Amino acid sequence: MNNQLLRLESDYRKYAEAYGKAVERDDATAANRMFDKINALGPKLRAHGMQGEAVLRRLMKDRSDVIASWAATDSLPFAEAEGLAVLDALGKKAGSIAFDAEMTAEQWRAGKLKIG
Amino acid sequence: MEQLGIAYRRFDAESRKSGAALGIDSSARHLGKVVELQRRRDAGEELNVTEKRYLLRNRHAASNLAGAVARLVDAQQRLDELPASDSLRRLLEAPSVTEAARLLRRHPGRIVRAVGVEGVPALTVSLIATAVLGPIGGAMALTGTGGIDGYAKGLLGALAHAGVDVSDADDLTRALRDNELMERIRKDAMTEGAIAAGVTAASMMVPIPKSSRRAPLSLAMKVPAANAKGRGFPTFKKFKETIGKAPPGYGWHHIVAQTTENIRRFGAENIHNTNNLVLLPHGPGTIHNKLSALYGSKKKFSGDQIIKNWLAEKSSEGQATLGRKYLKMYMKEIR
Repeated sequence: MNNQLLRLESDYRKYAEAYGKAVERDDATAANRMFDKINALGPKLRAHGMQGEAVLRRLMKDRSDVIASWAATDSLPFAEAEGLAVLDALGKKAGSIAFDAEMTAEQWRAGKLKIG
Repeated sequence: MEQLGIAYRRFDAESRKSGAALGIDSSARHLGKVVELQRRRDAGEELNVTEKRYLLRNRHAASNLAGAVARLVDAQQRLDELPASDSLRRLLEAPSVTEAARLLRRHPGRIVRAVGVEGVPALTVSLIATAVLGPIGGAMALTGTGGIDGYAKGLLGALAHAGVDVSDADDLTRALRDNELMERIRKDAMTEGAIAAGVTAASMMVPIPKSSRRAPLSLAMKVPAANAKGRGFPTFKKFKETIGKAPPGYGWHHIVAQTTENIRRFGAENIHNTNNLVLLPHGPGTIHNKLSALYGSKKKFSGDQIIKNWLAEKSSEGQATLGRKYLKMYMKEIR
């Protein structure tokens, strides 16, 4: 894996964790800042083709719920079944991240969500 | 000692009452005599020196009588307000949830007798009704302080946590008769999570107008369905004037937000509606704060928009459904 991908994966983890912590402390401003940062990384990873997708598949299985949730969402365009399985499993847990996962899966299935 | 304390206060109130009654009797007799003398004088009759002195001395007879009547009314009210049992009085004045719970567990018989209900389950139901009526109806059946009010809400929240449908009288009655379950409920009722859940559950029930001193329990226990028509008001101010302001530490939360656009689209009476307003604990870490932060947050499922803007495009039902979902989610989270 090239350095650029390694860097993207590292940033993805970092921003997703920071996002989760901001959500936990009900800090919408910080959460939105992290949202913008991590939201820009999904398309960049996918732009690397199969190698980038492999990174997202790996992140989907991360022990951190917030990283897994982001990666599952970003994987929906190329690994729908796998992504939905992760989101559904997370959706059964309690808390805000779980609720987001449930809503994301619901919106995707209803065809109302575009992952660009 | 506690019986002596209450007995002394009752004796004192009764003495004041009988003193006021004597005062009325005396003032009334004086006023009668004054009226009689004034009538004779006005008719041109010459009053003797004693009669003139009597008139002078009793020139305030009418206001004295009015004062005596006011004192009697006041004394009667004090007597009526004095609880028949010191245990009940202490319960009503409990400074904390723990103290209210401790008194209820230590003196259930005395309190039940003083309240005039048939047993502890009935008292519990009464407390639950109190939780429902308290903040939103201004018709507290038993409460007067934060301790008992909080405990009543905790009972309601703990019952809901245990899977009891508090809106279903039969389900609730079954739970109240289950000693093991109620033992757990009474312990859980003192936790912050249960109290917060109880506050939310109570505020989602049908509010009772201020004018009702005691609302029927059946009314208080009906949870309005998501699509039920509640009571609407033209403004939030009018809602608070009628239903009641949020008590300290709590805030009213609109499930469908009270934005200008929502009021224009759905009508003020549907926004400032008892079916759309929920009383929530207010402050850092509370559901109210979490909801405020959430509505200002961007999400993937909302197409990268902040929730508030995403919801604004939805129907009233769509906004209410998600609003209720979030409330339930946070209620589970604070357990």
